[in-house]
Amino acid sequence: MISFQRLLGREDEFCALLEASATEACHAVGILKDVLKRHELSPTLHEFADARSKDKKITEEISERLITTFVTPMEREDIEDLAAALYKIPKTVEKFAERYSIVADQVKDVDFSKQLVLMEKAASLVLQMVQALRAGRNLGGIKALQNQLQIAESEADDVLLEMERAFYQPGFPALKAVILKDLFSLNEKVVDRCRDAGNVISRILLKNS
Amino acid sequence: MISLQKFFGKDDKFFDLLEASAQEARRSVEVLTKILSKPGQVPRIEDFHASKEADKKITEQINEAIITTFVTQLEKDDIEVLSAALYKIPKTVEKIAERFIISAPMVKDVVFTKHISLLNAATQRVVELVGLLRNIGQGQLDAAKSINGKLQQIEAEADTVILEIFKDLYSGKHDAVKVMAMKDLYELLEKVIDRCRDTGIIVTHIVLKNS
Repeated sequence: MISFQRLLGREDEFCALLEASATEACHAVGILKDVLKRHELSPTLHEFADARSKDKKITEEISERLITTFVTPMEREDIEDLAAALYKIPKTVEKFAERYSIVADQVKDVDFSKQLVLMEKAASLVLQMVQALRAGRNLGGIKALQNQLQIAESEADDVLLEMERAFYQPGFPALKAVILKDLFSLNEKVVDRCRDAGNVISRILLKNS
Repeated sequence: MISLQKFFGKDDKFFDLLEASAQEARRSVEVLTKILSKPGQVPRIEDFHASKEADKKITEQINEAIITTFVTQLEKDDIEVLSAALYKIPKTVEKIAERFIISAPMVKDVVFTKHISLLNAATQRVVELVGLLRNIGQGQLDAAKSINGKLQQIEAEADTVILEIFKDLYSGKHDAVKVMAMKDLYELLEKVIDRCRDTGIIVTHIVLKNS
């Protein structure tokens, strides 16, 4: 049944689109890294919007193809879930960039490097998982990548807690705490979105293995 | 197949219920926008509760009908997903009213004009979109795509508005507690528009599937 689906289902077309979407997610995190490294006070938001909009087009193409394709390589709902989960990564990165752009001056002394390392790692692991899915559904390999993703997500939780600890110290400016809480939560959300995408890939693989 | 489904499916019932749910969502937003236009007045939570409860009953009726109806013109899963998405609109509106009541002294001087017009436009589009389902399969795809495009535009405008508002809130001109209260309210207002956008995507998807 599965090989019949693969034969008729133009598996590679869907996988190529999903890989392109995961690549856009990595690209968005890459732009963010550059912006935060340069401590840009007013980052150019169009680059983030472009990455998100490219990803949106890919997601729409996947949705349309799912409707017009008679037999799909994986269950339609699974492909749809994965496309939606991947799209949410650059979308959340863009949201962070927008919020950062309006407060860059007030947070120029804040170090985002720990969060950046984790966001980069998580997005790259998602891309590797999508590539592994396309390459041949190696259950062991994908499970190992998912475990790394889970570790990155748990580290992101720890980093958030550590960063937020400062807000509750007497004398920490209240407005800055509100602003940073907003930004740090969005950082963590990016890693969460990557974890969600990883979970969907893992579920697809288990179902089809 | 489709005509057989139409024959057995008693579809009018589902279309009526989905349209009623969209109308309830719109009504709850109308009550909200009336209150937001007069921030000096503290709203009564009962007004919002009634709308949400009415929509909840409709959603329950839809869920029951899905179980007891043998064949439906629209896929059962699609009906369920759409009714759940519609219900989330008055539910989020009620949440706004609750927050508005507890933060009333802080928000009495705030002008919500931009949000009022966006909320009205978004719920109006939702009602139009759900209305298309009754004649699904009769060339409604272009109409659905066009209305959905407008909804996406409204949602993008809402994002821009909230960013401008946050810029002002984070400028240091306001008291930190007021910033927190306002941030909460504005995020919920944006969420209502997001819910409308989600509904638009679902309806367009259903129309595309059945076209």
